[in-house]
Amino acid sequence: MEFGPAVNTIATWISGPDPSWWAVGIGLVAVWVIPVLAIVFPVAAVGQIIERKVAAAMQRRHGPNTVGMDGILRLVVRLAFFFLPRAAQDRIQARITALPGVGWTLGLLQRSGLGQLAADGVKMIGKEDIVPAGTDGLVFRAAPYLALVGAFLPFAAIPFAQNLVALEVPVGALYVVAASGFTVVGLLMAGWGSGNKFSLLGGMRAVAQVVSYEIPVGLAIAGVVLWCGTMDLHQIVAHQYNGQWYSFLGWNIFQSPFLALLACLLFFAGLAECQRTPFDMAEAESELVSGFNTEYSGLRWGMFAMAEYSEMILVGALVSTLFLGGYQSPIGEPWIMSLPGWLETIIHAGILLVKFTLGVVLMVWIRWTLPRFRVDQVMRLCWLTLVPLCLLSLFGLALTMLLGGLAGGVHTGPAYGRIPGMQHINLDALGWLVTWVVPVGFAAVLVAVARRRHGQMHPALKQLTGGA
Amino acid sequence: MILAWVNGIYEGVDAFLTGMGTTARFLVENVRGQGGATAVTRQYPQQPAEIVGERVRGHLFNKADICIVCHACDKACPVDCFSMDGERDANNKMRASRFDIDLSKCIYCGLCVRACPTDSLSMTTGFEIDPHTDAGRYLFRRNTGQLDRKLDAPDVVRMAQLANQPRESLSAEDRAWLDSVVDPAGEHLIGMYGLGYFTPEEKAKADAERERKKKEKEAAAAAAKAAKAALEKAAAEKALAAKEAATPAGRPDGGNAP
Ligand code: SF4
Ligand code: SF4
Repeated sequence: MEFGPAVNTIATWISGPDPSWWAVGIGLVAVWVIPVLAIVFPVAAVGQIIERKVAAAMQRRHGPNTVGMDGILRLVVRLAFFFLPRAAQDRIQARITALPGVGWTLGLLQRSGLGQLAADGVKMIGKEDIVPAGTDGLVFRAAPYLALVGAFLPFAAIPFAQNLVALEVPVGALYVVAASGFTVVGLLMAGWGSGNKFSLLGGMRAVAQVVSYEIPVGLAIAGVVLWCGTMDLHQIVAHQYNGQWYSFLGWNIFQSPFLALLACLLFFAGLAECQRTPFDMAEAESELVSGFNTEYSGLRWGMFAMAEYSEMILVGALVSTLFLGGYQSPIGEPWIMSLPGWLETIIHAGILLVKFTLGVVLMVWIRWTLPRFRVDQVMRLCWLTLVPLCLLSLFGLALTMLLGGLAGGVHTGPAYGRIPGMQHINLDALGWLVTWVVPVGFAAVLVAVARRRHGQMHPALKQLTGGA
Repeated sequence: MILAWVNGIYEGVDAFLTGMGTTARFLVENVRGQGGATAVTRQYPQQPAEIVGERVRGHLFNKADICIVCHACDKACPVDCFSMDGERDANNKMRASRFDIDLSKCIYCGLCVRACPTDSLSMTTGFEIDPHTDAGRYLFRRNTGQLDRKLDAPDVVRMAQLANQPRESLSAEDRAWLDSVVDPAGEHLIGMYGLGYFTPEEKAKADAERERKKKEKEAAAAAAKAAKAALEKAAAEKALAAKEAATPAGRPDGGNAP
């Protein structure tokens, strides 16, 4: 395991060419903890508002639109002018609100629900932290931390920009899957420690589900590893660089239909790993009260919520890194690469932020579209659909690479300067076309035949969709 | 078997995409506010209910001039909303001098109305106590004695009905009337804890009484203060005299100046 170049630079700058462990620690804080705090935490927090707003819009409601920054402004005025009478303070507040732009901004914050975010945060911190009688104290108390650790550890290996990566693990893809496994330990501990049969059922369901869905996740990642020939996430990103202004064509998802399919499968399996509706077996409020977090309150409950949203971000970031070019821009990537280092870092981190935020929005969209599956349906979807599809895609991908290699498609393609001479499947236009047309055509024929043979829709489904 | 599997996947993906399309349509329509698809939630204090049923059990109203202070309502009330005082009038009849109903406790069960032997107690259709609304403001002003005239039961009903409609839909006359009883500037939005029902004379009397007590208290406090000040002054003078006796001449500060 190696620390990223930025970590080493900072450590060397602090304590000389052979940095001591604490200098490396400071470097890690600067390169891992601070970006995670600055990028992931706010998005995880805002994600809750996004969720509520999107849900409201889909259900013809307003969502949070009442709590604003008015209260905070009033507090500030009260504190700053405490020597004046109340009426004068009110008049000052009215004057401030009437200033051009201020009232508008406050109104926007109020309608967008961001004020609600602050209010919820304060509420969560202020709530009583209840440890009910009959719980397994230590296990109960430690569980939220483990869940949160599991959600944040993997970000150490996700490259946010060319130099903004904390751990250059050669097996980065594996590390991400392994580290995120902490979460399920946290969930099981929460279920067990609560001393409550519904919580325990929730925890057990979480384990059964996450362990099952790690197989399609692993297989999907294996596809990318096969294609890129490396498990280092940074090199996987570098592999998706084609050196053209239309840089999106270099992304893995456009290389082969099998990779595109694997991206979808990884996204859905990741969704199941986050325990989000339609896969929220572990919470299932109609069956298990609130599942593993029934007994939690206050900040500990907040940690579970934070872990959930961070995991959503992690899935978005992982799909982006593996299939959507990571932190690369869809167009004009070479120009961004030519910018000075600090600017390039900011732009790249921003692009990754946009990508995983879009992933979060997509997950929210799915959540408010699909109802919850039954437990057996969740398992069947995993073992009878996702896993076979993953295996088929892997097989197809291997075949593509074999035939492409035989046809002379392996090139030493352009890659980031740091990784010279990287092996690259660089298909010419014809090869690319063949790679897409043949499998898609085959699948289309297969579906057509299947529809002819079994096209009878399930009667209930037919009724629901109006026979469409 | 494989074909059935493929067909199943096709149908699943198809249904999934149909569902995603439906929710996306709702989302877009709602955000753009088109096709009557905007949010249907009523934004309560800003958009009051337009239709209130005739038999809604709303705020209580007592015609204080026929109430006989029998305490039947007080006994019937399960949550102890009432507190009242009465005195004999010229005809030796009991009349209410103070009649308070704590609406923050009331559960609108109506038992008190059933118990009232004189039918002086009745329920209006007004339900608004949020002081951000016209009706709530009216209640607040009535509660704090800022209304220049007392409303009769029909007036209260009218008020409740008008205040529960959007302002724009009111006639000019209604609006002017409403403005005369509510507080259009929205001052005094402090909070409402209870409701006092006074006849104007009783209210004036109660106010005078309160004022008198306040003045008495102030006078007592002032007297105590003056007495204390006099005592202190005497003590200080004594101490000063003692000090002057001990201080060398020419050092009026007592030798303590730096
Ligand atoms: S309506 Fe019920 S709760 Fe309200 S004052 Fe009358 S008896 Fe009491
Ligand atoms: S029951 Fe009727 S008459 Fe008796 S005190 Fe109550 S309001 Fe007055």
